[in-house]
Amino acid sequence: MTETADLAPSLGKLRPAVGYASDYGDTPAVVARPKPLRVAVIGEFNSGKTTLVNALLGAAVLPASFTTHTAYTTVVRFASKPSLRAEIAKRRRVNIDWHELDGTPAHGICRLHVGMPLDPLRTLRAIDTPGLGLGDESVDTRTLRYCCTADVVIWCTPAMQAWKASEHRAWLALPKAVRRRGILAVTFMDQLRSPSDAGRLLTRLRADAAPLFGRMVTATAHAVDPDLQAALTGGREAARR
Amino acid sequence: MGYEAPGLGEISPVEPQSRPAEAIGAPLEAARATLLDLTTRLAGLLGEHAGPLLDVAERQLQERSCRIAVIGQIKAGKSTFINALARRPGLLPTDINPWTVVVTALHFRAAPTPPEHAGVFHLFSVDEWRELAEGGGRLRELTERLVPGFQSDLLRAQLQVMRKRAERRLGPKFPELLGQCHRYQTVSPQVLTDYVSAGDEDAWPGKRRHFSDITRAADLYFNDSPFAFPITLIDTPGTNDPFLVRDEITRRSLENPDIYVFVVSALQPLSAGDIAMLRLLNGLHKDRIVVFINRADQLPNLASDAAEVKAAIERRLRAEFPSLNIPVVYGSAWLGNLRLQAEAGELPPVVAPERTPSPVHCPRETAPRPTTEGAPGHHTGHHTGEPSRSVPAVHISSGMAEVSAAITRLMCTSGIAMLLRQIALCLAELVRTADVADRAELQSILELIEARRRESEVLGRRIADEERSLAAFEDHAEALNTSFEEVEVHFKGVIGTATQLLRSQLGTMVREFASREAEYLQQALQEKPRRANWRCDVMPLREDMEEAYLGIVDRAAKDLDRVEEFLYPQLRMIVSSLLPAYHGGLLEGLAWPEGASPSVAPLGDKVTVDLAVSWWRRWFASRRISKERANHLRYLIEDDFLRIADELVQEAETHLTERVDYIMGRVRAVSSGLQTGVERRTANLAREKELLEGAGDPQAAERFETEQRQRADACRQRQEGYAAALGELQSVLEGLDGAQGESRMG
Repeated sequence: MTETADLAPSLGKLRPAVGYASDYGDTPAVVARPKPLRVAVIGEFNSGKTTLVNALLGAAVLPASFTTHTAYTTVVRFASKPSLRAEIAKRRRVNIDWHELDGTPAHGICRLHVGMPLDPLRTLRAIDTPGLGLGDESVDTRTLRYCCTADVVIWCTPAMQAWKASEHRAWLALPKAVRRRGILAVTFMDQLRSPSDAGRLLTRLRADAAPLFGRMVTATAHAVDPDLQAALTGGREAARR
Repeated sequence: MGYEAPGLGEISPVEPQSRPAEAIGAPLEAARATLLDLTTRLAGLLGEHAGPLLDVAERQLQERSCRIAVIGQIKAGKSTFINALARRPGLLPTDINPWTVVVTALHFRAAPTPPEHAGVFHLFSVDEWRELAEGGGRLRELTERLVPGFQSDLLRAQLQVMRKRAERRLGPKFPELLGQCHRYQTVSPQVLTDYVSAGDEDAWPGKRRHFSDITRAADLYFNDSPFAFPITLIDTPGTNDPFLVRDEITRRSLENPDIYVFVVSALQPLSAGDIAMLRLLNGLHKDRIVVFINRADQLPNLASDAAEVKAAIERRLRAEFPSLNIPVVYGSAWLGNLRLQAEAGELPPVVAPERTPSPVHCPRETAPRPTTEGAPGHHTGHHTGEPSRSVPAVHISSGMAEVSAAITRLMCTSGIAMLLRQIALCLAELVRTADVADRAELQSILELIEARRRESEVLGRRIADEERSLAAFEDHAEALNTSFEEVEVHFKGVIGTATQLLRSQLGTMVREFASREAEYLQQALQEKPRRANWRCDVMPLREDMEEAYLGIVDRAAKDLDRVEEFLYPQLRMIVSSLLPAYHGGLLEGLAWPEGASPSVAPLGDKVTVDLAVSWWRRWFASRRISKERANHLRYLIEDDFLRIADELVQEAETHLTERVDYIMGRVRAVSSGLQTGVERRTANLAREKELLEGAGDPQAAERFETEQRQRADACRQRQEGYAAALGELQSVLEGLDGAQGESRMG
């Protein structure tokens, strides 16, 4: 299944909401290092957000697990060498190790910042978020508010239990402007038991959910498409032209 | 109203495979079978007076099944779970999209003959349809109360879709079908799909008629049961369905089940919505829930992740409900079905994996690992074509045996077990009463025979004694009947006081809560900055009401017990006057089993305040003055909950009245049992007297003597029967106690 590749051109087509054109519009000098596209990935817990981020970046950058959920909003950006830092107060970041984060949110950490020397990160910044619907409404509100600032918002819905009323409600609670630059990613497509299932599922989602998004794409959990990097860059360059 | 099945070659459901070793409800079934057998045997032994009580017991034993409702969010795998549990793969239709839209009850009962109808489908009545399709049902009612004159675009659009679809599928004259009930001799998967599945949108004219939009409920009957005890499995449409109308239908169609199996997906277990639903269920039906973590086969690491997910869920449940020990089982209903198909020879036992994903690019935790004990590794293989994914390694449990055991354990402490115990106690009482009456009769016969051997003077004295004793009984019996009447008045008084107290307490509780919440809201609105997440949580009110309700009913029940105890000395006195030396333990203990509590179902009703945040946002947008808002909130809470309080009062009254009826039925049966015995003796005595006074015909005297001896023999024989029955009842009760004890330990 190569539908992950779907995502790349669609990212390219979406114009970021803020600070995009002015960054490289007229001055060729800035074109070399444009402000990266900020892509926020949200959805209910275990909906494959972290896996999708890893797939986007073409490497297992973030730990994805079914039993320990992503506890912090994690921003992945380009860096010449790998780094992991915790933001503990405005503008204060300290180095930290994955092992020090045991999955339960510790007080004081508001975000994690991951730096990786990965090519895709030259053009996009990925924001992974804690899952919604774990029970703490204030955490959910904070997550949703933060992702409103991103250029592109990807909502992950898992293929096996796709598009529930709670997702519908949460998505509709976002401002219309954010929804318009939203992408519905149907994750774990490889978990479906037959291609005909996939067809039926997508038919339903096209009718019920896709109209609420800029567009809909599919993604798989394990298969990291080797073309993805190239496609992303290509899409990005297409957008630039 | 009959409906002939269209002649499309219906086939019977798949034949079940061999029964598992420990079928659901086995310990209770043994008790049920013994009791059912005893009701028939005792009918011959006990005489007419016991008839009505025996009939009631027999009907309950025959008709009562254990109702197991399978609930959970959409796509948790509820229908698949039922197929696996019932050992009938492919019975209920399943799909990748939310598919079950009708509450479907599957009645399993082992019987030699097939049921009259295999499937009965109840369509909405005209009124129900109008209320639902044009009004939007209860959801619309609630939202209308919250924001008058406002109907969600979404809800309106969905209702429109539903009406249009019904028309497209069933023709413009579909309202003519409303109110019908369609019966089928056999039910094919296609028929089930027509009635209980969402169905595809692209229906075309001339296609099979699809009734699910207008079907209210479905009943399927099976005489070939994979379970030991009569079981009714109830499949429900999933909650959290974006198609809002369905949620309400489900809620309404769930009658007080004995056990809930709460199915969650291992991939997204226990979301906020799940917890809210569990909290509601749990408030209402303690000790009735099993959590089944389904789809464990889809976890990246079957063996390790499944155990971890289970542990996480158990932690979460302990944190949420510290006083309870909700059993959690994980497994895969899909795998369970595959196994059954493999057993039936429809599939090879293991389908080899097509390929193993390369671990190189896989993020942590998704690379396949060898599983424990050197067993062959599992395969999360990608499929490249039909028909199905590869079957994961077969040593992963489907969880079906474990969940069956958990259900059986819950059954042993459920209302079903209580009912069986109650019936056993009641039968024992009847037998002991008959025993007393027969012993007294036997004694009298033997004494009279003895007396006849001597002089007529002795016999005359003996007869006079006996007459006095019977007259004394008559006096006692009369007094007893008077006191029965008095006691009934007392009983009514107790019920009246309790319901009055209940009404006033619940009312006060609701009003106080409403005022308090209104005040909080007003404060919250005046705070600067405004509290963004204001939310009215009525769960505490529900819990308080439940506690008060159960408390008051319990106190009233204790009062009833005291009044009941007042009856027993009188009954015992009569027994001892009939048979001074009898110590058979008659009327010991109370008739009503402990812990049989009244229904709290009204508390589960959805109220306006339960509506989702988005509705409340509209509400906030609609009114300006904070005082006005607070008053509206107070009104909403009071109006909803006072109605619930009324329903609770009615439930309490029904429950207590049932209890009184049962107690009175029982003591009346005891007293009439004694009376029947006495009547027999009076008749004997009259003939004896006649013979004594006539004193002429030796042949007649001889005949009478033979007759009396035969009577004595019959008494002795009956007593043997009683002893055997009491022995059996004793072992039934011990068995029930044992099963209950074991399940508590487990």
